[in-house]
Amino acid sequence: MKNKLSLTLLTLFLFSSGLFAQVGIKVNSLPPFEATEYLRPLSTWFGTYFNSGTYYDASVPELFGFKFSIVGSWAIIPENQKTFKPNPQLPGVENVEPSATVFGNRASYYLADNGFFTYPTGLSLNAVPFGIYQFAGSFYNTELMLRFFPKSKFEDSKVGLFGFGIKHDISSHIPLIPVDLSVQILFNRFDFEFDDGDFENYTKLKSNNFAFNVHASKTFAGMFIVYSGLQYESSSMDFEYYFEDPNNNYSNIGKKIHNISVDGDNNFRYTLGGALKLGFFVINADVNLTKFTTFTTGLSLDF
Amino acid sequence: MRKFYKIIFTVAVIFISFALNACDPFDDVYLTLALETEFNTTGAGTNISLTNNLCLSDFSDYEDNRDKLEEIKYITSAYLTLNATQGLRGDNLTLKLYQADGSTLLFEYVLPVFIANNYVNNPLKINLTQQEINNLNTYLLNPKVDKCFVATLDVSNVSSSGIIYNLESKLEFVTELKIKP
Repeated sequence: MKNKLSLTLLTLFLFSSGLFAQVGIKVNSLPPFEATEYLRPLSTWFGTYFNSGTYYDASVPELFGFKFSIVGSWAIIPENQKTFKPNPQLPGVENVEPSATVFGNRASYYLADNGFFTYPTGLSLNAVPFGIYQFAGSFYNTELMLRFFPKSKFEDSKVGLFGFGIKHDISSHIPLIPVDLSVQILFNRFDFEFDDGDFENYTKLKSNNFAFNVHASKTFAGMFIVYSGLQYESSSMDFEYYFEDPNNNYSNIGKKIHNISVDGDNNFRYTLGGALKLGFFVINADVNLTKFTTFTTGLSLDF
Repeated sequence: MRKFYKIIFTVAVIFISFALNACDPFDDVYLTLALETEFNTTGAGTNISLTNNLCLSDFSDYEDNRDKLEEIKYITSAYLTLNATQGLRGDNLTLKLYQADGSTLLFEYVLPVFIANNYVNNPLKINLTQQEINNLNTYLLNPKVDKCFVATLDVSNVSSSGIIYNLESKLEFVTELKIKP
């Protein structure tokens, strides 16, 4: 287990695929300044994922409303997020070929004073499918959305999720406006910790994701909704791991637990989608143009 | 209205099919694996002649992924001195790698003048000929079947600052493993 990277445990939890158990990801072999670059696309993906699927209708009821939604997303990993330019900061080691990030598939290497160092490969993903559930209640043209998974222990792992969004229908204040218009603010936090008692396997991850959007929608025949929005978003991830320094290249920082902060590359996204209301049920799908182009689809109970 | 539902249903089916089938989420995986073997000796003779055996299955990255391996390719190699008696030197450092039978030569590298301590924290990169690289890659075909190697290190006319000398060294090969997702 020591030689498998601790992130494997995370990915096993997240993706539940045998592939990752086979390949593993040895982030533990990377010094903090390289682990940051290796993991940056993961931070970006968290920001993309948690800030997706948060609306399909800009109209918020004046009286009580309730929604329960299950949202599926398909985030496409762009090529430029699959590699990073290594900079091992070792004398005489320069111009290392690009190596896989956490989502990439081709690892690089370099020859240092005490031999070859081989970089970890990544999860080899072209896209990341994922899902989430959320509740929302509304009153006075304002909606509170919640995502919650209590911090729970699964063998040596602990995982938890908390997210909320507040949305206000500003078109309710503007008479005769031809579309519904809302603003929404979102915060999502994901926590993961692995501790089997061996400090070399210890891993802790906190992902904080923030977004603010303005979105509009138009409902036709009481059941067809077209919606669109512009969103600013940011993400950051604190990652605690043991740097095992397998080649003893970094005597001052090796064999220690490090805490790194990794900012995602999230900035803006544009969303365009459509929804179909069938009684209390709503089916929606949208495309999100952002760092990782993301398709989402949702099934909601809305009344 | 029924017609409309059919359109929606068709669009949904196409979208889901696209998502599930047309976009394969997995790429092939390429791992770099450094194979290494150490040559250690303590002696007083004028020649050093050391032999080591190594197999792919000695390395966990190979064993962990063996069932899904599609290809192994040689990338590069290097010699390093880990520790050596002061002044240890000799002629014709010869590094050879054979197939498991110990007689089919995969490559031979000769360094005419060998000063052991020159390669402490200063690896000697071994440049192989294209023919030697082809030999290795041909031997590595069918990667699910474990491959073993015999590695040798020879030095002639050995001398050092003392009567007894010590040499600890290693030979490293970097390979790339292509793994089916």
